[in-house]
Amino acid sequence: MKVSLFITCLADNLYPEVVESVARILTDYGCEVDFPEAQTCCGQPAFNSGYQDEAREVSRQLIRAFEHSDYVVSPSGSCTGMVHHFYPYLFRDEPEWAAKAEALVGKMYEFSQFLVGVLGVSDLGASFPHKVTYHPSCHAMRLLGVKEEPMKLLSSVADMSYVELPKREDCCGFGGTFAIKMADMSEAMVCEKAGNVCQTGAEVLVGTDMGCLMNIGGRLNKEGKPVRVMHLAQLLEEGRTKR
Amino acid sequence: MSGHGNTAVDERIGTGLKSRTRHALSDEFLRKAVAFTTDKLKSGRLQAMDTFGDWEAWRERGKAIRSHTIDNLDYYLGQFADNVVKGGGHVYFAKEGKDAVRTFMDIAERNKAKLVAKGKSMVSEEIHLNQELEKKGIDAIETDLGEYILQLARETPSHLIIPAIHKNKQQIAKLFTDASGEHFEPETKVLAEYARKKLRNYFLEADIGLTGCNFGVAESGSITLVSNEGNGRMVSTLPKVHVVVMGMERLVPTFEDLEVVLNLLARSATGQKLTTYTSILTGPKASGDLDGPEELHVIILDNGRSEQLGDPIFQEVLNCIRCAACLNVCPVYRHVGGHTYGSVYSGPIGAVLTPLLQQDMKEAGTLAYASSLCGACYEACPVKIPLHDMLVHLRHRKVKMKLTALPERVAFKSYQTIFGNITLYKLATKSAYYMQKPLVREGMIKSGPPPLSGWTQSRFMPMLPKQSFRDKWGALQQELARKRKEGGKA
Amino acid sequence: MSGSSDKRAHGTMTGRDAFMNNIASRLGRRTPSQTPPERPFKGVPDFYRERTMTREEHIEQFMANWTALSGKVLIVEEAEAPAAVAAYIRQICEEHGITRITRWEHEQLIALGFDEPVRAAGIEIVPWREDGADAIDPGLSPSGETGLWQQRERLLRAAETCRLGIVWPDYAVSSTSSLALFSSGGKGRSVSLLTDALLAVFHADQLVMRIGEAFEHFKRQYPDAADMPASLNLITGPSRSADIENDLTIGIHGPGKVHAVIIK
Repeated sequence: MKVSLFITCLADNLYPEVVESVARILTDYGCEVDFPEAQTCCGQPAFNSGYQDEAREVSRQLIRAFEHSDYVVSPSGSCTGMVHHFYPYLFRDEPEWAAKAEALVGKMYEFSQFLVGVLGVSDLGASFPHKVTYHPSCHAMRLLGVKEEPMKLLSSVADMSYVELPKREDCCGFGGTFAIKMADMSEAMVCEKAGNVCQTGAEVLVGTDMGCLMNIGGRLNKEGKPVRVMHLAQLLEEGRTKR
Repeated sequence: MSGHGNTAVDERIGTGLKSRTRHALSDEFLRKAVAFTTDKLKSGRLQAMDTFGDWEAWRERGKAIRSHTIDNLDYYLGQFADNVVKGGGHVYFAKEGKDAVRTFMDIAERNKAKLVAKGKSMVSEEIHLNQELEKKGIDAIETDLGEYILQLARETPSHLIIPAIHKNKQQIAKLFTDASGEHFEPETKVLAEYARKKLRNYFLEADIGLTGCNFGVAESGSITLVSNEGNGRMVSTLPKVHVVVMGMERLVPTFEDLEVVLNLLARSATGQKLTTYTSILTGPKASGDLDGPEELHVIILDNGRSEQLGDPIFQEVLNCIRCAACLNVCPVYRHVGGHTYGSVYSGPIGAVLTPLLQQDMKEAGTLAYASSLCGACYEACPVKIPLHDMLVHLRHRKVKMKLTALPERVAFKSYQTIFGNITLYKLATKSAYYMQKPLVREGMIKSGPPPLSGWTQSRFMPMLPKQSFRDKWGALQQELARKRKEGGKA
Repeated sequence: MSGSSDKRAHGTMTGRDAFMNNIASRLGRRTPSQTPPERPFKGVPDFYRERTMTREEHIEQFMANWTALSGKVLIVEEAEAPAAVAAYIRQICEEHGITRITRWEHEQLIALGFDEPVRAAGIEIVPWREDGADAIDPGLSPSGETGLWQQRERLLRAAETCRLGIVWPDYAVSSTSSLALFSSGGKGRSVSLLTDALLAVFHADQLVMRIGEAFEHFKRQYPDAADMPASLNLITGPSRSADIENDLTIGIHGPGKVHAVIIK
């Protein structure tokens, strides 16, 4: 099975190790992984700020990059959600591009969604002897409907003690440009989220979206809280090599 | 200190948004009260959904009924109005708020009204009816307990269902003490008992009872009012004249459909199976009836609503049944409360509805940014209004109208240019690595100039590593090839 | 069936054409549509409509829901009903020190014959009929002022001084524990509204599952909208408010104590 990595601009530049983990896990499960280099960004920063024309042009770049891929997998529910939820809308007046957008939607998956839903894998045989809490990301849950998959993967990790995050489905306050544009609102939200993370006493916060994790992790850092923040793929990979 | 009725806060919806946000965030009582109440309402809703069978099927049905009604509003509104008239009621169509106010004034004048007892009506807030009545020397008394408290405090509602969510017992006791001259202890029972007595008298003495309308039933011309307190029944039963002010979209075609929306409303709003009182009123009192109003007047208001009809994106906002479930799940609302939105309708629905009804993207349109686009509102909405999408489309409208700041427009143009071209993208990300250097401390960015300061005011930023994934791909590719040769691990 | 009203005089309509034309044009039609739109669906989802329950389950459901809302239920056999209802009314009055009550002028309530034994306990009764308050002094307006209320009908003013109201609902809905009350001459709305306590007496065979069933009966009984009773009230528990610090307060404007007697 050939799988193309959609690395997202955020992970490309700030969290390359997350995509490395994704690539290694997929390879281990028999995927032939490639990286179409022409990809940049899904266009969400512009789209969510109201700049739809600008977002559309950036989207074309992404669509082109994956035109010849069979499957596209990304470590972000938010970027995948952008493609699934808004690409058909963006190209509603351009039939040729609309068809290409639909084609991309049909083959693009978020990491946990792909593992569980397409590869049918929910137990990676990982062991992770730590206390872990999990923040579900809004867009994975609500734009993609990815709710059970990360929990399935986590619940099969051996030696891990899982503690549920209070109000876990509440947004962390990232929201892309929202974090900067409405800094005070965002601050109130991320403070509450970081507080809830600390309340669990977990050593590790795991998630499926580096946007949320950068936000919560950044707050924990500022507060000097010793919580390790990891993408689900990182946790699983680390757990596999440990075993 | 709650609300902004008596403080020097910028009242302009958009310009004052940030200062109102800070004001609300510094109010510990407000934040605790709003969080407590919305949590309670939210868990009530979840419980009510659980006991109700396939909630998704209910939502689908709710959405289908509301969409069908709005798609055929010309037919159903006509049918509704005809039936109100057949039932003996008088119907007035009001294009704008001021038309509705004038119509109401005419009715009040004809009846030489001095006292108007009001049931809860967001529409009357929307058209600022109380202020206009006050100018004419007519007393308009709010009879919903929460609204009454706010009227004494001269404030506006901060929640659709619990209007005085931001007031505590001490504040309420003081308001009652000041209003009556008696002394009140801050005890709910005592305060409620006083309100019952005091307001009962208004019900009895009022010349006119004024209510909103939760749902009009087109097939019969009936007005449906729901209330838990019973004030809606009081003002629609006791005074000789009952005036209804309703948004023109507030209809269902039939009683069968009414059953659906009543169920959705009660469960979504408070987690009740049904609101305590549901009154379905058809015409004024019938001959032979020994109580009930002698006159029924129904004022049907447009006030920006028809502008949404036919709009492929925003028409659906008219499907709203005003349950406030979106407020109760909104993390922004929980932290900043209703007054921060600066208008009658708050929370996610308010952020969408206000700019649309006021047709004001410049000030009111700024509310579209008061959301992290998390989508919790959509998930909670019993008629599946995609509020999170609408917020994005409102931002787009603002951009199209060139109402966003120049630096922002330039930034996104540059974004398009750079991220739309792989060579420029690579160049830009490389130079960003070097440009960040003056800001990096201990491997992190802990403060920065605007707009980065918006981020760093509350969190650190990781620094860009020397090698991006793109840079690492070559080595990784070889590693993966080896892995595949070894046959993987699985 | 009681409750059918005379045809009413038609009301008036102001400002319709421009308003409706604008709506039609926004919806892409030249003139407002006069044809009933097609309805592929209507009302509640099928799975909800198709549920059934036995009479006993209905009673259980109603009781569970009603008591969860702080209501009280008494279940009596048909034969014992007259004595039991009278005793229950006296008990409620005694408990709350009530000396004046009002009731619907309803044949089923009259047939129970509780007026005499209740009056014998020193309790005044205001039946909801034109002359119902002739022997009663409603006294002054509650405010003690001579306002508008002082000029209103004696019956209405008398009812306002009663602390218990007794009704015979047209239907009772088990899944929500709602009473469905259609208004008419003898079935005043005030009786279930103005008092501190409410008592509803009904037969178990008046129980339906959904509010929609009560609506169906309502529509069947009054096919022409112009004949519909001016009010259909669904009452689901006591008057309540959570407006002060989200503290649940019972009996804010309407009756705070609600009782039901179900006759088997």
